[in-house]
Amino acid sequence: MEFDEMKKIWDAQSNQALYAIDEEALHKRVLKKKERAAKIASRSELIMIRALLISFSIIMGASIFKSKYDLVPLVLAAVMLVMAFLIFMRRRKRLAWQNTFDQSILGDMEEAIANAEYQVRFSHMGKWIYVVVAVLSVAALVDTIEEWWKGALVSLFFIVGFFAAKWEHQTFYVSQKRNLEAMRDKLEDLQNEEPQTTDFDQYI
Amino acid sequence: MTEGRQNDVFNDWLKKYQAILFKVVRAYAFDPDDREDLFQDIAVQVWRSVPKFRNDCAVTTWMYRIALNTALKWSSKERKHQDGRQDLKVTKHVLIEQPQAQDERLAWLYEEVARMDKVDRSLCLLLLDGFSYKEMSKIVGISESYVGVRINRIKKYLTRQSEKVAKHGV
Repeated sequence: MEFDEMKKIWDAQSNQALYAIDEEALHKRVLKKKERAAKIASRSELIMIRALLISFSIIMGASIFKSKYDLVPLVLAAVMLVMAFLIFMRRRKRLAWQNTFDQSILGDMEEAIANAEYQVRFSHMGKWIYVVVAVLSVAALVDTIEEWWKGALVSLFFIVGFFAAKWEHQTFYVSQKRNLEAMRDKLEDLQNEEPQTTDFDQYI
Repeated sequence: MTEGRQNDVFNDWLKKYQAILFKVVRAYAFDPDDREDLFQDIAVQVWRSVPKFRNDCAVTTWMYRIALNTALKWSSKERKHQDGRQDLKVTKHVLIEQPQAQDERLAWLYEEVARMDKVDRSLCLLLLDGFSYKEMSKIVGISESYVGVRINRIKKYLTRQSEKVAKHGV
């Protein structure tokens, strides 16, 4: 069968309705997905910023209320404030570079990779914020907890949390980014293939 | 653009150009649940893209770009089955398959398209729908000359496969 014949077979399907669309169900679905995606994009940043600012306020409030200014809680509060500011700046940068990509599949792919890359960095940063907060929290507890096992339990809680965060980082963010990069590489490989000039006589 | 206007444009595009979405869905998803999931993903992306459309290309080109891009990303997702199907269980189906006589040659053509790698599949759909190399290059984001190389291989592949089928009397 020649290609022209295949094209005729292909064109014939345009006159057949393979599916009917339930428009009401589709509309609900579109709205649901739209709301979910918009929330996911900024929710993690806002949660992190709010959590850090609230923790900062609690630590500073407690210190001021008790008029007791220990070094570890003050360092912890300062770290939290700096982290909240850094996340805010990164968020601003992310919002600025959105929709600046080429309008092609490759451009869309680059944008998706940039988003995935951002998520990977953000999750990586979250992991280290967690470590700093955990270390400083345990250090602050050393002086106040009398039973060693209570300290051990708190430390265990932070260690389990760290491995859970690491698992989430690898399973969701890194693997999603890798899949997108593989697809982008596939598209770019097309550009790097040797052109066969004798084949160009079949241009449309 | 107001959400009402966005919905009107989306519904209009869906009525006029739904065949494009069905073709892409059929080429990239191979069972009813996956087709439903992919169709919904594409529909969401098309809806989102409405305010970005600037009339600097045909709506068909725009729809194809969105649909193919979504299909490529969807098919590279490792967890597509779990992600999609959890939602499908709790919501009504959007696609209702219409009973009709299946053209065996068309089914064969879809099978062959499905055997190609994901990028060739995109180019093949565009080729079968009559897009020029220039348009394909714009949609996919690769140079016209490489589109040419690729399309030539696709044509040869399809012709060779059809000869095999003819030889074996299928």
